[in-house]
Amino acid sequence: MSRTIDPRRSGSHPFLLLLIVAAHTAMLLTVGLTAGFTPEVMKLGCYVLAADFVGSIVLQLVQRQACTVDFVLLLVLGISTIYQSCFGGAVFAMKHYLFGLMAFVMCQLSYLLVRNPYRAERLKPLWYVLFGILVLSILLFTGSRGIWIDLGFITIQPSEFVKPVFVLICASSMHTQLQKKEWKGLHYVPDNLGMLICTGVIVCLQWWCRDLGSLPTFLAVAAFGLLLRLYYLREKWSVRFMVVFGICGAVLAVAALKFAPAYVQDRLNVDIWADMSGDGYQQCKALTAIAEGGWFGKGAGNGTLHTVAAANTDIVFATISEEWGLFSALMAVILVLFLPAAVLTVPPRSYYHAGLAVGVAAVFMVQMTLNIFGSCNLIPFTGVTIPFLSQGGSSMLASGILAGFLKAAQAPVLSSAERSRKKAQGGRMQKA
Amino acid sequence: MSEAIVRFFAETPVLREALTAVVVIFTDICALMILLASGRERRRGDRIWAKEGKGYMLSCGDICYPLGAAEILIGRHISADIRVQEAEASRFHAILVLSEGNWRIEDLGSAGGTYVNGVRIHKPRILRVNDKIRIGSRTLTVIKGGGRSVGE
Repeated sequence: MSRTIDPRRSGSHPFLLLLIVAAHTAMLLTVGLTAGFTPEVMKLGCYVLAADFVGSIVLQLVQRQACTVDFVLLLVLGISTIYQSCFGGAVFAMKHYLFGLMAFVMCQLSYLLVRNPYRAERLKPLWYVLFGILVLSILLFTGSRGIWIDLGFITIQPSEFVKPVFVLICASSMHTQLQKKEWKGLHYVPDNLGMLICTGVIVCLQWWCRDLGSLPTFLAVAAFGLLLRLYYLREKWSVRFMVVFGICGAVLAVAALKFAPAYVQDRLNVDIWADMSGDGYQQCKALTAIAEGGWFGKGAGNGTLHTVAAANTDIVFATISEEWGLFSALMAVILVLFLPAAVLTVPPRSYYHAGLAVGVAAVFMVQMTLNIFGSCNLIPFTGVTIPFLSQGGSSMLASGILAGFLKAAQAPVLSSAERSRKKAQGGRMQKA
Repeated sequence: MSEAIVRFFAETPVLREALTAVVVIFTDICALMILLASGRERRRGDRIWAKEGKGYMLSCGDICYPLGAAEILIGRHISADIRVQEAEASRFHAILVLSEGNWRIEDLGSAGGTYVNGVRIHKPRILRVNDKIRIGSRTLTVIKGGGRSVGE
């Protein structure tokens, strides 16, 4: 007897969910044995496992063709909450936990928004409007020497939300690349012009805000967007153009370094070991903590790096290394990198989604590189966060939105499927 | 009791290190299993795609070209999904687009033109099974497969 299988349903993954719960339980057990089974540790355990169970139920109810991103996200968010709760003593990090849950929800919402590449691209004017609103909010509310908007009860970092919007702007389909226009004999693609203008605006804005640490992330997204366009239709970039473009880029980079603000020059030339109590303080402490932690760490809550400024954000890799060991810290980093890597196993079916996936991969990889290499004094200290692991609501929510883009690239919904589903829904409603 | 366990644990660092190693290994196994699950999702994705794209493929003699994405570029250019290395073909010759459940072919202003069933097309045209697309001297036939490529 033949059996009809609906390929759209992914089936259940109870085994995977059980493994995630078991991994979190093992970590919580380690915390309990190291810091004691205090009420705070019990509270942490209850909340993390409750999130796992609720997440499992939600995934069972709504999961469609791909849920690798959801599983990795569930695993990473639980691990991140446990890490953040243990820095300098086991106290449940409720704020980080709540932002983690919100990031999970944002992932699902952004997936729903961009799962149809045609619709996502049709909404491009909206992305430009959002970009404009965010830029204006930075210009009007943060000031020239800050990146935060303080609302009293909460602080928002609008530049973090620019990242997903910029990724949406940089992604493009082959069809969009076909739409060429002419102005006084010059042929151009409006989409490409829009992307370049947005890149220019971001460079000026970051310079004005003195938030140059985030600039490499945006430039990487733009560079990958540009690279994809090289192979897009009608973008006949000649070798000569590429050489001129490269030379201009190199000249601009050299000029930027030469005329960079004094604080950037200081960071580029600082000898951290000669200035251990000044500009090199955080990096010296971070490197010492990594060395003291060794492969297996000092134990959850036994670290000392939490007293240093930005221990749970900018130098979070070192803080995790100190308490949990280099093995655990590397594992956490690999898990986060696993999110964009998982998309490679299911190649995107549309160029727009491919652009989104590449943009998100660029954001995650560059941010991690800047954070980890900065902590280890391999590059100047930038103060960029590690997605999902560092504390910070804006960063967490923006990372959740970006994870939703990856999910959309893995499980796209094209118009035919949406139409048939609407038809089916219409039929059911008529029957009712 | 709890304090005694914690004290014992603190006094025996080997135990703590072993437990940390177990946590790392456990999490890695978890990640590995998710990776294996994503492999299954890929096969499922292929089946869904076969349904979305109606399982259409292009055949040219013994060669079959699966239509694995919503936009398929045909031309001489190295980035083309279906490369037609003939002088008559333009670098960016034609594009196949899956939209509203139909595959459409669109000529990209090529010099030699794109012909469907012997008729030169000037605007997007919906493709049906057994339609013959001629680009230069190469003829590609629309066939219905199982959504699998030749290599699979």
